[in-house]
Amino acid sequence: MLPTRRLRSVGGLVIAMLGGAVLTAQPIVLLGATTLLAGIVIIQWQATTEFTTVQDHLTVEAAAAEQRTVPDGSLPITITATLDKPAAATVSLAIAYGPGLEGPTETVSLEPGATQTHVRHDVAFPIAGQFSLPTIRCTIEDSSGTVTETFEIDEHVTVTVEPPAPSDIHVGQRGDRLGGQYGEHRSEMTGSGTEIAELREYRPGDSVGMIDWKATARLNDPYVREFEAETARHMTLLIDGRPSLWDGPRGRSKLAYLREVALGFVQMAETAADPLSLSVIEEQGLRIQHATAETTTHYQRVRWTLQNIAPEQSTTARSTATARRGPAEAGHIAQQLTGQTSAFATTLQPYFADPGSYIERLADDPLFGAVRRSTESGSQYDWTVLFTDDTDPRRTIEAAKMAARNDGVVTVFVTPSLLFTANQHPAQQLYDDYIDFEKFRSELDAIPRVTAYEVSPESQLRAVLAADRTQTTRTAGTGDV
Amino acid sequence: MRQVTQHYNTLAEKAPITGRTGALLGSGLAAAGSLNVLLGPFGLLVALCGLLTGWRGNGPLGILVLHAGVLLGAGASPLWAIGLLETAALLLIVAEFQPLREWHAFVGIIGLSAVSGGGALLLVPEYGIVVVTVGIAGIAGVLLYLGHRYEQLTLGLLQPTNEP
Repeated sequence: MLPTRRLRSVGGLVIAMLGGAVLTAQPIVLLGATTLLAGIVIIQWQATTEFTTVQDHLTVEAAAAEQRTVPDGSLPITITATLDKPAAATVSLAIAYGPGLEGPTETVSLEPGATQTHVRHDVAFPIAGQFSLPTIRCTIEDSSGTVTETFEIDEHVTVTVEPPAPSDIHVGQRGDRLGGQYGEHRSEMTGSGTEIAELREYRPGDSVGMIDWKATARLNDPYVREFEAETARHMTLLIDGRPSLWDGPRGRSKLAYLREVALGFVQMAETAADPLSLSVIEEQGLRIQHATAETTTHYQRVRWTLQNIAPEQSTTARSTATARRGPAEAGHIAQQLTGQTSAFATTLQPYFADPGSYIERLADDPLFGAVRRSTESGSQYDWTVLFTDDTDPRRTIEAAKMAARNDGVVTVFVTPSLLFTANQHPAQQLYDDYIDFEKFRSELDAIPRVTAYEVSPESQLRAVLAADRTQTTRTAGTGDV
Repeated sequence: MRQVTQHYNTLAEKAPITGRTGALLGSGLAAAGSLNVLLGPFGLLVALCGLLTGWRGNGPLGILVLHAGVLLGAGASPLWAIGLLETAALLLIVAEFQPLREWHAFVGIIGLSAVSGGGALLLVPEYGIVVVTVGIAGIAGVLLYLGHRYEQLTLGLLQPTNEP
């Protein structure tokens, strides 16, 4: 309970009268002060009764028009206050939006005698995440305007802000959907666990507790049962966020599809409590990096980062330089040029003279550089998951090789650019482009310890694959004639 | 976009203005009767000033005016005149604050001011005005603090303590 300015002025008068009574030694002035004090005590009692009545009969509701929206979207929020019976006190409701929510600092009053009021305003949600509407501060002023009381009402209204996500995600190989979970991983070690790894003969030094007595009795030799060790696999998510990954309509870009797969990996890591790190790569290099951790807050932060990746704001033009040849091919050409004296060969020889500089040239590539950095401290229990497209196949292949160099496991998710371009190519050309993409994916998949999957819109992919069937049927029909 | 609507209960009772007017008139009459005895015709002028102050919406200041006017008089004041003056002060404060115009609040303020005023008059000759003034201020402070805590308790606003 807080005094208003009115009560403070009355309090000032009481103090003045008490002082005056002491100074003048006149009890009659003291009587005036006691009358005022008695009035204040009774007013306080009356205010308590009014506040209790209002609290008992007041219902405040805050409601969002919808429970979900997209970043930069807005939702109408309605705050309704209802009193079962009219009150003499004035009720004010104030709501102030904090970080993550952009709305007016709204105050709405329920005047004496009013039974219902409601205010409706738009609240913007600029970033993705889960947001609760702030608590509503309810201030009641008694009918004499002398005291106020404030309490908070929390309606627990939660709005989930998610980027527009594609619903027809195809993850697979050669146009076939992947069966099972692409995240399942097996442990390479044996140790204490629940999954049986093998049954082997007892060796001196093995613990007696490991002996499988049933197998021993059956085979007449001591046998021990070994289990797959439960290991925590360090998962590194590398998201290519360069301009080419933003091809496609909003919410259906390459990155939107890859993001959904990446979010699945975050969910899986959280379920298994696996350490997880995230790097987002852009044209300028590494932009966002979350170091390895396995806390709930960390998983939430990674999820938030994934949901809020935005296109690069820099004016850098899209890089068109591609690495067309690998070191083996360059070495082969250098061998062919050796000993030739033609003007053409003489001109080309210096460019192939130093094959060692190939890695140095690739080091300028942001994706390759990020992969190299992330694998520098890697071990065989590392699992690198790379999300990119087929814009620069050679560099992607080299990046995957780099990721797998420490005997780590690498999974690459690539999106075929042909399914995200606005140009209307003939169906047969699209199919041919898909075959080229599939060759690239197969080449990736052929790298030891690397598995490559395509991520694409299901409907577009089916249309491209159907084009081949149509063409085949047509060709067959022509042959018949 | 902002829309605000309010629904009023048209049958809601409104505070009767006659309550305030009646209290002010009663206060004016009581003050005039009291101050006329204590100060003579000048007392009527002081009573009128107090009434006008209360009428303009500043009853507590009107109470100060009435009691300050008494200080101008000389000699002992009869007890009934003092009682009449306090009745005028009481009606001024009732006219000022609407919640005091309810019967139970009205009876409460009469009882409380009678007890505190009577006690003060009885105790001043024995303990002196300073002790009694400090005592009344202290008791009022304790009463207001207890009222504040009770209000928080009934509204469920008391913070939980760290005690086990």
